[in-house]
Amino acid sequence: MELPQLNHPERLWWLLAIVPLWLLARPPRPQSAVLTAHLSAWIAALAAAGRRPKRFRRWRFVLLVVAASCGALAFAGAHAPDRDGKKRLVAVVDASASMAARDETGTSAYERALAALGEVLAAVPRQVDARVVFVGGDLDLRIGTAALASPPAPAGEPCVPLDDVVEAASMEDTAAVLWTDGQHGAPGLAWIVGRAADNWGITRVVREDRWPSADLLRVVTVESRAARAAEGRLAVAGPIVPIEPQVLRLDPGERKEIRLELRRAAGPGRLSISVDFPGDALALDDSVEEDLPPLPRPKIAVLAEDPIPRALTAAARSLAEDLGGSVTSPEDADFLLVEGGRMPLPKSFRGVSFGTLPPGGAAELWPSPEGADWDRQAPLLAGLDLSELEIRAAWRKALPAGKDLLFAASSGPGVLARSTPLAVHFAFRLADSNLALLPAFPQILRRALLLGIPEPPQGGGDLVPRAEGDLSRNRTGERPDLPEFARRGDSYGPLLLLAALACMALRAWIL
Amino acid sequence: MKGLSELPEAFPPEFVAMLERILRSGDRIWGARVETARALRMQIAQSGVFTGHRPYFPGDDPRWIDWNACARNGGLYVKLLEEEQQRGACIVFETSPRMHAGSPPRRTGALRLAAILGGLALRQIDTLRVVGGSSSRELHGRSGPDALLDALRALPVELADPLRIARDLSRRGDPGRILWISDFAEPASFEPALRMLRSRNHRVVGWLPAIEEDRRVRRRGLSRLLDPDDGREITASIDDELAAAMEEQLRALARQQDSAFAECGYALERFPVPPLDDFRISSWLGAAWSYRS
Repeated sequence: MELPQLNHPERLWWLLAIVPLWLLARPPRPQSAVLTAHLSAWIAALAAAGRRPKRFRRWRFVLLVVAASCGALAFAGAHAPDRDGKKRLVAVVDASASMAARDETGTSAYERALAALGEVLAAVPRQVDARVVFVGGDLDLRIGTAALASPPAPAGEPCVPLDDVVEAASMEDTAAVLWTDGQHGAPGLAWIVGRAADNWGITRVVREDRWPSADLLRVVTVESRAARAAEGRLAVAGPIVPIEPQVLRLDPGERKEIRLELRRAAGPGRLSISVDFPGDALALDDSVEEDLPPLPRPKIAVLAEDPIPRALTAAARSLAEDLGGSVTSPEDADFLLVEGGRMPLPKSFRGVSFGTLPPGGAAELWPSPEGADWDRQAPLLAGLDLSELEIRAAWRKALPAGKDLLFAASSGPGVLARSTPLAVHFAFRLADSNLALLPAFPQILRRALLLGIPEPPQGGGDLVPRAEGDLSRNRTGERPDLPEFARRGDSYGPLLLLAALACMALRAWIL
Repeated sequence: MKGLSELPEAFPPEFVAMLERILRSGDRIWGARVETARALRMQIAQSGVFTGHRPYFPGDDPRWIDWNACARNGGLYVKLLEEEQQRGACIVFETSPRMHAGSPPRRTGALRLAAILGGLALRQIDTLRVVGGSSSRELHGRSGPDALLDALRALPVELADPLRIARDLSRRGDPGRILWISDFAEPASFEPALRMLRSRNHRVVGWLPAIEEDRRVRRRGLSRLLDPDDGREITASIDDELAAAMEEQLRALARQQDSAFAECGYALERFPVPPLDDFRISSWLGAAWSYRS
């Protein structure tokens, strides 16, 4: 029989408390004695008074010593002998996308891994330091059984090689166990929970967004990692003009690119492109989603003295059609095309003005400005050619403050066009120039309309790494023989305390 | 003996002077005159001149029952014979270590009492025997007090069996009146001796030198009580309740002592011991008691 062990042997010094206990247990004894001839009468008087002479009660002291000893041993942490073994467990769980592959029962490799891990954690002695490392797109370290409360979802591919993690975790008193589907190998002590299966998925998406135009282009690559030919469907859903799902037929290992010309609806929404093949084990790579921002949908109005220039009206109509907007009355419009006239042009004005004069008579006629030049770096005019612009008449001092875009040097320098945060102002009327005939004219209008509207970011949902989609190397392995874990012997503390209490209770019974 | 300390001097010069005054005044002491007269009183003896009857007392030798007197008077009577032998007395002194108990120690007061009783006896009788434990010494009448005091000083401190003392006394013949000076702390141990003496028609008077501890418990608090006879000791916390219980025990003991003597027809005199430094004659001689020989 092995002797009990002590967690804190130094606390056995408390056994020395027995010495003062012995001193305290001794009844007080006066130094000198009083002679009496009537000791028997004193004894009888004590009995009559229900008392007993004060004397050292040996068995009470013995019980006190036993109780104190039990208490000291309990305080010193007496326990059954410990069992040697690993003091730490590092569970490395493959949380890559391939672990989401499901078998014929609908159970994923990840779920099987978590179930097996749960069994192991439940069986590991409490004093073993258990840590769980989820290795997927991110590295996630959890401690103890709480790790299984809300595990991360499998995604991506291992950010760190699994064998590196297992090797780093393996130390003398540490058991490193890997739960994986076998796709990335099974280094060290591994519990392989994968199953080889067929997979079809989207491996690549090329995006071309013509915002603020409603047209958008997606080129989707669908790949087969299956051992058999199969026929599936590709569907697109979201804020677009609906299109019919496409039937795809893929041979084993075949890859196909599908070009999707889509037209957006006006409102925002989530665009989802998905494939569906019967018997597909991994659903993670079957769809890709992205958020589509809303189209500008401008309300354009034309404001001009009669007759309204046809070029302006046509330009407004074309612009509305291109951007999913509409031509409306000036009262409802959020973008004005103004030809001539006299009206205030505050900073909040949004639109394009041609030769519109401010109230009052400050403007001066500027006949035949020549040598017009433009700011080629300005985003409004970048890439546009205005070299054939001819202006018959313009106005000086007619433009509100802003950034100079177009200017002429003849007859004295002057500005022919300025931009403000929300508008572009020309110092000449369309009717007094050939601007409406230039190819740059529609671009200028389009760019002016997009002033103040931030361009939405391009991009979409992450794709499953291509390598993760290959489930052919997945396999199932036997449950590995886990090493012996250190197990602390059962504490004798409760038993010792109980014994101490029993001794004290018995002591009270012994008067 | 365990726990015994040195006793105060029993017979300092002051006491000796007082004793001599007592012995010189002799006849002027009421008790002494009575005793002188009583010295000739009839007593039960095994031989002598018939002098009268007295009622039968349990323990009396039935051979001395006068049946004629019984027939005449209807009760039991025994004959009284006048002693023709030499008159003597015997002082039996308790030598047990427990006589050291008390404050002042009972033994000191008892020795002084024995000196006075013995001195007065010697003035009136022929012989006085002083018995204490294994010690026994005979003094003759008209001796001065010095021999008596020497005999008393020489008394040992030892346990003595009362029954053995009584047998020894009885074997020596008629010891005369026996003055038994003791604390009689264990009345049951004296009863056989008293009965035996009664059966031999001996005259016994018990003298109990009473001290404060025989009646009251003044001490309070934690006390270690030691019986010097056998060394037993107990520790007790004395409070009012325990003191009251002990005083009740002392009263019961007193009743037992009185009963033991009364059953044998003997008297028990309780003599309150004066303080050790009190040498007034009035403190030592009281009108209520007398020295009988």
